[in-house]
Amino acid sequence: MAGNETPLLAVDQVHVFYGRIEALKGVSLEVDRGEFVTLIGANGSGKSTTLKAILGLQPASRGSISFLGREITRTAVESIVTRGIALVPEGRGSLAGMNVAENLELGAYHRRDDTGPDLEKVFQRFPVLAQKQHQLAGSLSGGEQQMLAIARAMMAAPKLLMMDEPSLGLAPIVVGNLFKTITGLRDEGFTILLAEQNAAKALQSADRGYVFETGRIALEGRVEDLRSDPNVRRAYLGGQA
Amino acid sequence: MTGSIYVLAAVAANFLLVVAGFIEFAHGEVVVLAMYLAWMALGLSGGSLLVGLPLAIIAAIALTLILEPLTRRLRQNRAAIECLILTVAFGLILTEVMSHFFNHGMPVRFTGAMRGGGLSLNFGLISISAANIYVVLGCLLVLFLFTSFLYRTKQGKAMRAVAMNMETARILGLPVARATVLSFVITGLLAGVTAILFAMALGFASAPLGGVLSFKMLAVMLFAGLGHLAGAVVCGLLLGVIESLTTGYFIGAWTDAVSLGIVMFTIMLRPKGLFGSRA
Amino acid sequence: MLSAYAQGFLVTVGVLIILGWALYLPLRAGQMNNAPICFMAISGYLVAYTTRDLHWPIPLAFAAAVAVCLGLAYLLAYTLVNLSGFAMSVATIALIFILQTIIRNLTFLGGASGFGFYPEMPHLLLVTCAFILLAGVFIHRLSTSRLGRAIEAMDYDPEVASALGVNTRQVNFFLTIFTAGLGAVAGVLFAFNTGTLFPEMFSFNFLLYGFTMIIVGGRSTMWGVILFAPILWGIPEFAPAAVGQWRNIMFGGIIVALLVLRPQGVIHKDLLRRLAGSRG
Repeated sequence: MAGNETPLLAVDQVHVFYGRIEALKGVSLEVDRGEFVTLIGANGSGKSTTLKAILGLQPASRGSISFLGREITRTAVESIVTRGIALVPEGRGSLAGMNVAENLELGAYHRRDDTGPDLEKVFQRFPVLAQKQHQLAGSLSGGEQQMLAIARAMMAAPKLLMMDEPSLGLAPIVVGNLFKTITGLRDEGFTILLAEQNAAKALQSADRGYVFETGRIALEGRVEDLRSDPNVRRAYLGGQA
Repeated sequence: MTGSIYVLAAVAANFLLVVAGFIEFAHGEVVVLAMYLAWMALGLSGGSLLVGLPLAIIAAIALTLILEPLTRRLRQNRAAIECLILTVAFGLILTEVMSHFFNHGMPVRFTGAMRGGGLSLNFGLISISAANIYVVLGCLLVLFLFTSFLYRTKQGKAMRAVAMNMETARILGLPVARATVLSFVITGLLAGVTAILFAMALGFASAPLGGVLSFKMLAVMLFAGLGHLAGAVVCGLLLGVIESLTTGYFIGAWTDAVSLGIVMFTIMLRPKGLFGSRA
Repeated sequence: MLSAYAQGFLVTVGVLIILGWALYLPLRAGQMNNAPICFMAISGYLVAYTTRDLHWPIPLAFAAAVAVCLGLAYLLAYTLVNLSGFAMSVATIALIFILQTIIRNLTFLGGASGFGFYPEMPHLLLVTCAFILLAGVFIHRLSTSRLGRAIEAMDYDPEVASALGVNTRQVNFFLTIFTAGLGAVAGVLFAFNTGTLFPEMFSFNFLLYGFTMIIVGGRSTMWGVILFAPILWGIPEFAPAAVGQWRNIMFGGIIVALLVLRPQGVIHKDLLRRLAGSRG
């Protein structure tokens, strides 16, 4: 990693408790500008919790998180979103009772500048959303709702785009398109932090990865190295080439 | 015509329910107390509407807003029953205040400008008082403004989002706490307007009236389905119609019981309400 | 022995305790069911009418009143169990209101000017105490039984309770009928203690007193009601008359204050546990 530039996001020895259960036991990671970093690991290993802690949804009881060089550990979610972090939540989090256009509009709630050009870009990238602009979000298919969730996050013009298990519940073909979209975003210049259970796809698309195990980071490195690591292959990649 | 009052009350309470997550049992009492305070202001200022009307609105907002900090912890813990008991108790306190401190517990009358100046329009045999017309128009205007707010403004959409899915609203960085407080203010505002229109429609206010209004408002909400704003409009009007029909056939005191009985019966047949609950 | 005034006071406290338990039980299961107050009205008026105008002997009137209430409760339960929390509370408040109107319009029940009747129940205080003992023992046994734990589970989360095999409808059914019985007994005792019945007696006043006791006393145990009924009733009774008229506002204020500051009430299950046995 280029060590001379301060990372966009730095998570340092963060602990998170759900009541008395320690979900994160001292997690540290970094994301540089323009990188595509992925968090992989089994269900419940702490990937989602890490994203929530960064956004401020789950307070970190110990440790620190800084973004753009400033502490955001005990900052309110609203403020963190304004600083430029957007989360595409697990389960898409569509506002089902509102139509596509309104969902997108709310994604840009905090922006004071003209969001027209970004809306155009979003519609170009996801023509389906343009077609179904006035349809209720709840009536879209799983894949379309995932697109909407990503588009909504893009509307915030975030400096860091986080995604929580976007492939969950999607058919394999749709997953393929999803990852093409995500890598497309990275190519466009977005910084991406992705929590994924689909380790194979994640390690194919990302730059770097962290492997989570029961609330701790067991392994980290460039995805090529992770892909060839025997433990990773056995646990997450089906144990084969 | 009183139907429109029920509509306003039920819509306001439903709104607060979906955004803040609890039922304001005392809404009717707030409305009537605002009426009493307006009466007091009118009395002190010699019938000046400029003093009376704003006071009703400010009073209603203050009374509703006071519930925000009181219920905050209960709402965070999702203690629905406790919120219910709290607002019922609050309503009872307001009713007691009204029966002890205003006009020695006697009902108060509204006259003059507050009743449309006693004017009426005559269409042959039918005469409609100006007050009634103001009430219906007022109600329509308020509903129109409220709907525009919810569907056309950024803050309104944010509130609808909070009502729909609080988790997503937080993730989007929407100002959830501020939206919740604002919803109390808006509900209070609606209560104030309801007070003014009610004074115009009824011409008097009495201490037990608060409880009666709260009650009918709840009946409408259950009838339509908790949290269903559009349903509340339809069912509020329906209740108004049912009441005017039963007043014709039954003597006085039975009217309330009958119309409520009809509503209760419907609730028992369709526990989720006519339009389905949204809360 | 005791003066008539003291006896009247104690019986009223007793009535409040029984009513308090009747309102406490559904609350323990996470529901607000105000029907017991309606049954108090029904049994109170029934017993008054049958003893004064029909000259029935007191035990018969008592039993009949309770039986009628239980029967009505059985019918009512079929519809009540389908209602959600809010709907049940509003519907049962509605019933209070509707019942008031009905009573007020039935002239043979004295209507708004009241129904006065003079037959007195001998040993009223003893009978009251006996019922309190009976009810108390039963409720205590209930709270430690499987049914009691089912009720607690429903309060915590009705869906979780269902998933754990609790038949919430059956439990609600039982509670409706049982609390109706409690309400009926309270109504009879109240009627004999008061001598003249007015419809307004059976409305929000009892709701207010009942819930004040439960909220202050503690909504997770039955003992709070016993402790606080005499206190909450006694203070305004023994205070100067000027304070008395503020009673309702005071109670309302107490409920609000407690719900904001200490919703679990003064006596909470955990407090009892800590007092009862010091665990390591």
